[in-house]
Amino acid sequence: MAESATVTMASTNEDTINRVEAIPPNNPSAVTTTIGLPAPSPPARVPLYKIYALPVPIRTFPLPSFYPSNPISLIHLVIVWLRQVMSPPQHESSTIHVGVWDPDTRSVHIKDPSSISALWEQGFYGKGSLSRSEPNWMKREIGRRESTQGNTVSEERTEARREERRQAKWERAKTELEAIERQRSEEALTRDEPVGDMVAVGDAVLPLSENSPAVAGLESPLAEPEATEPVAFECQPLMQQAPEVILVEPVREAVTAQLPVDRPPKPPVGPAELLALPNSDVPRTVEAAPFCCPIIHKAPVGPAELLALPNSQADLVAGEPKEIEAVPARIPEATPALPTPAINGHAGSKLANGHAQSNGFVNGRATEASACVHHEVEDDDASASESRPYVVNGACNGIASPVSSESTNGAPETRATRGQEPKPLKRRKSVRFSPRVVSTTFQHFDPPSPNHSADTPPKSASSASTNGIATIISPPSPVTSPELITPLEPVSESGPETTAVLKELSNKEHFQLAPEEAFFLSFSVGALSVVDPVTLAPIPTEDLLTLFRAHSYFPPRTVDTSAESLQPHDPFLVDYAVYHHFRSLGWVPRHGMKFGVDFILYQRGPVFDHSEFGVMVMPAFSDLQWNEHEHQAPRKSWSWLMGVNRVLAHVLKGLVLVYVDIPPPSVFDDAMKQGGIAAALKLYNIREVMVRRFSANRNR
Amino acid sequence: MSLDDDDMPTTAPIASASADQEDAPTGDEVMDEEIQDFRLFRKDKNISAQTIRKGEKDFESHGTRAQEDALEQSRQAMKEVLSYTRVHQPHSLVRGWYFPDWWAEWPGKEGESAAGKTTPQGTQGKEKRPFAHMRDRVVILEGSYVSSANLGRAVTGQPKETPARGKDWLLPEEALYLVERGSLDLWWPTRGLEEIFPPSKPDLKDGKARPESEPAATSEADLVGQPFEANATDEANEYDMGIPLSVQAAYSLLIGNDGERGKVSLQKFQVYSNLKRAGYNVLRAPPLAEQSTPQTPSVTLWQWLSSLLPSGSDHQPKPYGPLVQPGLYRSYVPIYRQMAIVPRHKPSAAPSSLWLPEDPFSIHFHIWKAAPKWSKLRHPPPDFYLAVVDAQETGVPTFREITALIDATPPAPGKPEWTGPGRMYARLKHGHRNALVAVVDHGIINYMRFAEGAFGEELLFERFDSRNAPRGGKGGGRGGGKNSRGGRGGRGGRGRGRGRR
Repeated sequence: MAESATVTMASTNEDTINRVEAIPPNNPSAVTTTIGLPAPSPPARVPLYKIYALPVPIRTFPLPSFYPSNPISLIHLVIVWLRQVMSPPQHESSTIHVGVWDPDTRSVHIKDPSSISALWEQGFYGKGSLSRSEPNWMKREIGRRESTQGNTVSEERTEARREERRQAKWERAKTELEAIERQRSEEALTRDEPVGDMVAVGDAVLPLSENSPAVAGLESPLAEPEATEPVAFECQPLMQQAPEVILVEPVREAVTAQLPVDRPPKPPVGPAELLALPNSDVPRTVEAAPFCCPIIHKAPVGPAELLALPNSQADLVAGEPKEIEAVPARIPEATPALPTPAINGHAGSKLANGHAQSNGFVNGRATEASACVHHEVEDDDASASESRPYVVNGACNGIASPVSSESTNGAPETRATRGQEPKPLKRRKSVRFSPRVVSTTFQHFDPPSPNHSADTPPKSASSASTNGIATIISPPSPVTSPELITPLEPVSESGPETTAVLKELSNKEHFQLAPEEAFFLSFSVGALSVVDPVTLAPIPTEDLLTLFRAHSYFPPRTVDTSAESLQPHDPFLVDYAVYHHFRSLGWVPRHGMKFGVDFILYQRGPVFDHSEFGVMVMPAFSDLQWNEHEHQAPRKSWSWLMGVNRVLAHVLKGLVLVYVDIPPPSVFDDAMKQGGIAAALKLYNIREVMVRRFSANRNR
Repeated sequence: MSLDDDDMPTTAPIASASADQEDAPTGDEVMDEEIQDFRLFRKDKNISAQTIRKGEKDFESHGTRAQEDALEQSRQAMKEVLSYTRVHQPHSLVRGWYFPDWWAEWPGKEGESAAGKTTPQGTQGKEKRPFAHMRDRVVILEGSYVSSANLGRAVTGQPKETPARGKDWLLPEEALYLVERGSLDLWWPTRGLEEIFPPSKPDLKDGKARPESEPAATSEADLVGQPFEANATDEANEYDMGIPLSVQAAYSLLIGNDGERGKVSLQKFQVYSNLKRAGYNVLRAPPLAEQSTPQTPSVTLWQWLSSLLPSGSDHQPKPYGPLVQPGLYRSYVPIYRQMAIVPRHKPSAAPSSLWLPEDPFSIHFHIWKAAPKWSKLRHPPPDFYLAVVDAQETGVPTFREITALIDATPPAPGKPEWTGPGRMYARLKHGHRNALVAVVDHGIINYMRFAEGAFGEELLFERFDSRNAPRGGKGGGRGGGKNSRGGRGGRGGRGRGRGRR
């Protein structure tokens, strides 16, 4: 397409005839030629209406109009006319494309790239076998490997749009939750109860926390084993779903980060709240830094939160018992008045009970480890760059700062363990609620699944597998802010290799025409010649019709005189009558299986507008002669119609029931003998019935 | 867009009440009270039907006081709305008597004859009285019900000695609807109509203004506004004439199968009741025999003539193509003309189908939107034509059924301002004739609108030339309106057919 674009651009300033002539069908393949070129500057975009100028694969040669007020236009007209008389253009349709009938898929395959682009651009026929509709597998593939021009393909744009929408929804949910949080804290402030009575507030405001054993733990004196023992059991089932739950860990930091420091932090308990909190460590480290004090003062109440408490952290270094003792030892110094450390301490002791051997804990350890490693990386760079507050390290693990300082020494070790497990974290499955989604979510140009990048260098593979890890693993770069560490860097390093790969890339995609489209092109326009797959001899239109009719049944019917032979109501004939009807009016019908209908109707084509109508073909046998054949159309139920209508209404299309009144066999056969299919098609009576739901409450 | 569930039960009474109030200038107490009550809700308590529904939906408690307060407030509002006590004012209650066989001998094809009899002076002008369905009217109203501007039908022009002269008679669905609403007290007579409604004395003055045909037993209970159980002494006499019926009894008497005289099928009653509650004016459509109006052959003759012309000039297409002759083309119009072999439907003023509608795909109800000047005798042509079908017994209509049904309705072209390519979708979706089908599935009603489409009237290809024109058609063919060059550019046939034919 890029090639045809440049051709057309060059001729834009000339007169129309030249422009029209310059446009395909004869232009060389767009895709194959552009691959090898380095393409130093992006080609100027050609307007869509120029690419898709022809509604059918037939060119017209309009004479320029004559304006009586402008005599020069007459000269222009004469010149054009003379030129066409002297060197008459080829009679249309000049280009006859060649398609190969494929009985297995019941479609007509087209391999020639110029034919492919011509058929797509001149009336939107067919579809790419590996694409949604426009055959752009090659472009996508180039885009995926080079990732610089990749987002021009419609599939990619759709993906980007979806990502955008997702982002917008996320933003909306975030603001809503922030508003709720603000409201809740305001309400908490307006109460006259003492600030320290947090349990009462939590009870009143958050009904969920009433049953939580953690609250009981808070109410009880600091170190009461009976009260905190249920905590361990409460944690146990949750740990089974470790990857998702663990990621909720930074919940409390984010919440407190949004709250003013002087306010008693409110524990997030509601499921929506927990969901909405940031789940990646990157924002946590950045945002939680100034609020390290509230973090320590935080009262963890929710079960998921409890999971994230330093017991898992301690589990990280469970091999060294002195660390576990160190955790409760430090806590009273840091926060002497708050009940939080009590739970931590008990969690730590529970850990000593050996509950920590479940999978959940292993994952939890991995999370914490990655977090720690990440901070340590930051530590390293930060010495060179701006003075980052080093409370970050403390904030990472909250109370367990000794652990993280310990893990600074053992950082290579944790990295090595990650090397053993290639995918310790399934970050992508987690809910991405984080203020910095840019750095933590996968981009749309990331390969959709890890095995796609198997042929690329291992470095880029590892970086592209999951971004969450990528930000951690990637070697410390001069740019220290973590959101700038994108997986693109390794790819750009291996740039020469990928272009070498691209050169070897060949187009694996072919183009396929549905039988209706192929028959329309060959019977009506005369721009297609379908060849036999074996002999490669062109199939005459008459035989092509028989072939398509026979193959509209499964198994394909044989042509004989039995009752099981071809009928006037062959599915192909009925569909083709409808297809021809709309095509001959100028509509662009395309198969609408994706929307649960037989056809969808575009006014100009898929690149210009959305289709406005969905068409359901309804064969009808109203002629009295059909009574002898005892053939009736199967009666569709009302629920079927309502379902179709509902689905179409959701995609903002109107439903059209197209009744095709089928001539009885005797009449049909006579017409076929006399005038061929052209005469027989005149017997198919077509009525469109527009169907819409009527709402009694909105039409008053 | 009709995506979401659009049941708004709280708003319905307002609309119907206001509509009824506008229709009935005499003032129905029940209706008035409903309006006042809702105004009370709206003004004094700051609750309207809208505010109850409005707002974002919270799917879980997020523990804020504000949320709980809002929830409690709307609960309270709902409680107040629901705890409103409905009072049947004694003076507004109307009694009806069930006389199923009184009109049984009325001629079935009464339409013209009855109308001619009702207006003996014959100076009714163009306005023809709507079909009365007298054979099916089984409930006679005592006194004159205020809502009779919308319901019921009286037979006028009868001799003076006729019993119950000038009284309104109700169709079964009308009676049952009123019974269900609580506006009508249905009674089973134990005496004949002549005794309950004795003919007026000939020596009295003209009974038009004040009909003298009160029930004999309750002769002192005079007119509207007079409670018929006013005096305890009358009660004994009252039951001489008949006994009151329960709602169940009314259902069993008035609901029947299709085609039974004096009864209505359950589906039709449900649709009728639903539409009435939604504020529409609904009348039974005249029967099929009355609907079918033989069409003048002049239109078909003209069609026949015009169909001759192009066929003579047309070339015969090759049997197996290509339809488009090889050659040099100056525009796309001739190319597409050659492709046009499948016949296109052309909507016309005359119904094009050869078939007559058959039950259940025939027009059962005529529907009007609520309008101030509407009355059962004088009203504009209906806004909608409705057929009622059962979802289980029928399916999507066949070709014959749907064309016959749609052709039974008069042409309803779209708005005249829907011209040009910009409004093509609106024109197409509106269609040229349309009929509603109420699909009733065990009491759940879904209305579908079927319209006669005419894609053949929108020749898209005529726009292709202006789209590709060198300078003239700006805007890429969409909405490039007035500056089409010459006569053959593309706008030639655009305005045909949808405006004023």
